[in-house]
Amino acid sequence: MARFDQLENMYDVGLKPVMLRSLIRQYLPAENHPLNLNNSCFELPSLVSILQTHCLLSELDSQSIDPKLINTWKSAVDDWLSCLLSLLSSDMSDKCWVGICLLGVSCQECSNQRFLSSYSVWLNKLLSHIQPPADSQLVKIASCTSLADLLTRLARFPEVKKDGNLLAGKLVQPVLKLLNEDNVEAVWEGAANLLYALIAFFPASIHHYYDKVEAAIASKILSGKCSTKTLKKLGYCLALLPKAKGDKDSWSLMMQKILISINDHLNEAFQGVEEEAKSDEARRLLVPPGKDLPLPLGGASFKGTSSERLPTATISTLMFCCCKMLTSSYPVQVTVPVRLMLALVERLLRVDGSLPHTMLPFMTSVQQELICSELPVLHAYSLELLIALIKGMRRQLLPHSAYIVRVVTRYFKRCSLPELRIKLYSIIRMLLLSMGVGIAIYLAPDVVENASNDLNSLDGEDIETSPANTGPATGALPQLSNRKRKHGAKTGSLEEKQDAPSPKVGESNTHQTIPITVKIAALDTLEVLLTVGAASKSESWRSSIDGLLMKTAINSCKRGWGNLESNIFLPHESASVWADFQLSSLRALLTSFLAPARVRPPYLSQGLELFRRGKQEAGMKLAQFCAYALFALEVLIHPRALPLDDFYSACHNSTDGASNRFLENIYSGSRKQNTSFLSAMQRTEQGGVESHDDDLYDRWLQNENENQNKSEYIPVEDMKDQTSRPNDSSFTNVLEVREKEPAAANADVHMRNENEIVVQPWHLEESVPKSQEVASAKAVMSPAVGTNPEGSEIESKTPLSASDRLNDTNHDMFSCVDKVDGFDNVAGKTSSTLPNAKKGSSSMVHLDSDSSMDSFPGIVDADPDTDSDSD
Amino acid sequence: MEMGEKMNKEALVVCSDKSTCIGITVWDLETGEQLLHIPTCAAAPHGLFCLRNQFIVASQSNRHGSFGGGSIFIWPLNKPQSPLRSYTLEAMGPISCTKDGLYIAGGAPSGNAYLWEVTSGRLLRTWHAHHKSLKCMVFSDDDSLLLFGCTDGIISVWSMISLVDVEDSGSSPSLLYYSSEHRSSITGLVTMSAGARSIFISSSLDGTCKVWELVSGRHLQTLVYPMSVTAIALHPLERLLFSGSVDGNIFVNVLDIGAVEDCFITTEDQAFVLKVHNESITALTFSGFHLISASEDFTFCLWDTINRVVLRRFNNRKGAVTNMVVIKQSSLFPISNHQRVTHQFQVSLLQKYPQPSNPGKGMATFLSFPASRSKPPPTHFLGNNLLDHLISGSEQEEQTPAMLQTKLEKNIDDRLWVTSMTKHVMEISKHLQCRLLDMMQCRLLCNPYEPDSSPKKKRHKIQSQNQTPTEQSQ
Repeated sequence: MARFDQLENMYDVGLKPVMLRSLIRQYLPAENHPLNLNNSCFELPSLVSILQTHCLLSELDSQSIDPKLINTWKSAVDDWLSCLLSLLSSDMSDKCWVGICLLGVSCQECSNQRFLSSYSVWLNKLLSHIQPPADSQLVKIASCTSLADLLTRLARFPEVKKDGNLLAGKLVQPVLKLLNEDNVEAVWEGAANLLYALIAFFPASIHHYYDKVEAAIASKILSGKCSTKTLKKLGYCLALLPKAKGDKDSWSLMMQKILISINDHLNEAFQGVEEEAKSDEARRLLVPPGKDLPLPLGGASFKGTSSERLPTATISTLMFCCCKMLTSSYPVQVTVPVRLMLALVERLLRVDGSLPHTMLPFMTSVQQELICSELPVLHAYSLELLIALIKGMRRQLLPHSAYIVRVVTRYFKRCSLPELRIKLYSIIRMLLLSMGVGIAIYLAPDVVENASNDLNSLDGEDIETSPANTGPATGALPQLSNRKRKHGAKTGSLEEKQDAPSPKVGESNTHQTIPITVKIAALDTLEVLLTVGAASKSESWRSSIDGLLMKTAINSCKRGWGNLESNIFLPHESASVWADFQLSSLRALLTSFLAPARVRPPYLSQGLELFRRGKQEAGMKLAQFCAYALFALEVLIHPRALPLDDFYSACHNSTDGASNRFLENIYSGSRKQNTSFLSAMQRTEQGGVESHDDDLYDRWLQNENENQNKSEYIPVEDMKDQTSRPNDSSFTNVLEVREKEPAAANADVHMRNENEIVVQPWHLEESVPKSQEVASAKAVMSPAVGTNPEGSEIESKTPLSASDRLNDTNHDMFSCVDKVDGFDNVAGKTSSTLPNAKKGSSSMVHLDSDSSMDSFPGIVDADPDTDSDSD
Repeated sequence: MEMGEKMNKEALVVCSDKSTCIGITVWDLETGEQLLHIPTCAAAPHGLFCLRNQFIVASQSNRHGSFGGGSIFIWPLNKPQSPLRSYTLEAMGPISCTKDGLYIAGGAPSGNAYLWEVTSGRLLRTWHAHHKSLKCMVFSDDDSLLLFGCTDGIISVWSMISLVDVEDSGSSPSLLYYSSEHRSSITGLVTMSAGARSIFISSSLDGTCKVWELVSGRHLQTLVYPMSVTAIALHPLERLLFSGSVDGNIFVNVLDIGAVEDCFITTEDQAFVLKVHNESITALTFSGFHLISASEDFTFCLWDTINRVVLRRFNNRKGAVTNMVVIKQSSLFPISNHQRVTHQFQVSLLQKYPQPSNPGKGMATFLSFPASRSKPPPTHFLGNNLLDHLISGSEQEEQTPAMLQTKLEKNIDDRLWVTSMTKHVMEISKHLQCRLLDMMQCRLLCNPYEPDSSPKKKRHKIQSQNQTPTEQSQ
């Protein structure tokens, strides 16, 4: 008490030795006093937290350099350590345990000098507790953990690397002994911890015992008798083990051994649910003919598995091991058996518990039930393996990406378990991000289909939305569902498109509800798809996805804003999952606004309203995102036409008369902007799609300033449009369009030119079929069959198969006559500058002739090649 | 001191297609001095590029001892004396590599295209892409698409994923689309990295540049020039397009790709012209924000595009420059030990013939590059986990994940049992004592019996506490 008033505040360095001493007094049992375990197990954590918060062992003094103080502190730490060491040498296991735990903490906390001067003493002390005379499990575990901490700290001093390796080498055999001879799982786990530290930080120490370590770990994994956590730790050690040698071959050998072991286990497990040929095939791939079979994993064969349990734990641990081998770094270049691993993934994902016909008589329902119960775990691990492959190989996986796409899309159709679907979505996101737009072309149809299904179905809490209505017919935003229907009417030349959502929703309602976590994954995936592949052939799905994302965002936000604060009474996930859902839906919505498109985002105003509300009301994260969204959308709403810096300076600095030219540039530039603005205006008016433009006011002002005479009526028109937004006028407009649309589709080109401005965007969006490009490519190529027979084989084959694949469109042929017409037009365009309006329409002719093609024979005498050559 | 400066400086690699004796020259753009000369190289137009900042790759238009075929040479920039000489089935015209330097594509005058994996040198695919000679090729910005431009004006776009598909099931077409809008030979292709909306620009001898949407192949814009366009380059900020024409003029256009509708832009009144060359422009490229133009008049110039003046004019003397590549000067220096990049993919000889793929054979790779090799990644102490378990175990009693906790509890339980037994015995004896005292009190004081005798009990308890060491478990 007397000293207390000398201290300044809680930052006073003088406090630290005092606190340390009182901790010693209070918590550390004296020499001959028995330990009150009942207290200490609860007090130990608080003791450690005091040590750590106040850095009581650091002996670092930033404020004063009072030598007396330093000495006091030093002697206090000395006392602390001697106290610990005496506890360590006590023959009471509980005291010993406390001492070991605290020594581990001291290893982390003490100053560098002290650590370097005494680590070898500590290591030897701790070592004695994992060697034979020690019998208490608790002490062994604590020693392993503290030793691991000691090694971790030691690894940070490169100058003692050699000594460290030497000391670490002494630990290997005792650890192996623990693994091999002890029979308590907790000890194995502790030994795995220590082994990890040894392999990770002092791989050289393992080098001599490589095979023994492998055998010890493998026997534990193959027996499959530990908990998943312990198995995973052991698996991780096995995955890191090749680092001890650090050469190319030991990595490959380990990988091969693991794959063979997985394969053997699978052969056993999948007996009856898989054709025999499959397992033979896998085996043949694994061991190339003419090569020797490597020794089985762990050196000798283990036959530990009992027949009534599937070796799921072993298989999944080995697969986890593969994942870790792929994703952790390795010092040299290695050869990854990509094909084998992909084959393994595919094999696992193919087995769904159904019985092949040939196997029916040999299986009992119990066996099938057994396999079905374990399959989800195996599927999850094979997806993990796929993820690890993508992570590990990055862009080098390109030659296999087509194969992966096939596997993934095939599995997507069947996979319905939430966890697996979430994993699958994350794989797709990774593929999209790493492979770019090229893979988006292949993945988009499946992603759109699956995500739409997931998002359209009701989740458990969605009571309000009745399944009869596809849109959010909750009265909150009735125009949205109108809008959606309009889209269907406008875009869909196919009738079923309009009706499609309702049975689907009803169906999913009866079947199952989709968990919100799956919806989050679907939203995130759509977001990535829009980011990467919105420029790809997205016309077919873009409008429906935009509508879906708007609907989802509104649904997610209509019941108030989620609270990100985790509730202490609920498990962590359930508290924040709703907020995550909102965040994901808003993020996807923003992306759908920002992604390149040929029309203005139709739901922009609703979206802006959501973002504005969210910015004001929501908690930290959501508000932050909403603010960001508004910020990002600003450029879309009010496009900036900034002057080019260098041009601007050129205007002022140049001496060679370029300034005149530059002024001219500015003038023509602004004129052009003006006209495009006007045309946009017209489109808005007549199309009625973007009737509620948000920059209306700006336009009005702009109009007033620039075009006095025109501003008389245009804004009024627009205003009217906007005020009647939700229901009448835009709707009738659309109806009008809808009536015109089928006519236009059948009519000839002239007919279409009349209402070109209205139809054009939708035409571009919808009626250009996906296969058009392929078809056109073919049309270009097919004349070439005659002219160049020897080379055309490859090409004519590929487009054909392409059109076969897309057999839902019957547009695989098209009028080359029209095409040639188009060429003539283009030729005309390039040679002489045509007035603007005519150009636009002629390009329309070209496009339309592509899309509204009847079946024409593919052989035409006009060869585009010769066409262009003749000029 | 000089080394450090040179690290960031750029150098220009030029070569010609006419005769091998001109070779490759590396110029310092600031000082105008020659940094390196590699003799015996003559690359076709678009036949020179820099691989991973370390290698110069050139397709040889003049054959080197090969019989009927062509060759591609790869020079390590820091060791140019020993090139890798790969021989190909046909003479190669344009060649190109992906941004990550993993794949090289080459096109032959016959219209055949070749695709190699650089690390293994494997010829992944060869196919007949066009009927006429290939003029130029470029990979899309994310390396997932491959674009060819042909002498007959046809542009084709191919999907890399199906081109290199090992299974090659043929289910997906490699060809995304063809376009034959240009009426004469393609002279240049550039791709833009404008975010999600990928766009490329093609130039042609028909006097136009066209702007396209990369994936859909939609034609967005046409820029019409009075002359044939022989080379194009994009300003690094992708707002200006520089097009060199056959008469030596370089037109500069402002690109406005935001416009949705297809439009024609006649450039005569909108573009300004850089004029210094007398003959056809052969190549354009950028070093930083400086344009470099090469012409058939044997010169190449470094431009200040802002002030539109020539900063430096180089004379190649022996022949016209057809290929220019800008590299980092640092890649010319021999690798010193401290900057050695161990995680560098090897470069193999490109194979002449496709090899049947062996499914059992793996793919050589590096697993997860550590960010910096000198510093170990941050590690966590296990002891903290152990204690975390303890702490969480003590805070939330029902959640005792750590086996340690259970171990402890087992230990504690044993002790508790002992203490409770002791206590029980003590309790009994206490009770007996109380009774005895009560009886004595009753007798001594002759008071009526009081049921509430707790104060006395307490006193006795305190007394007895001295004898029991552990009494906390109540």
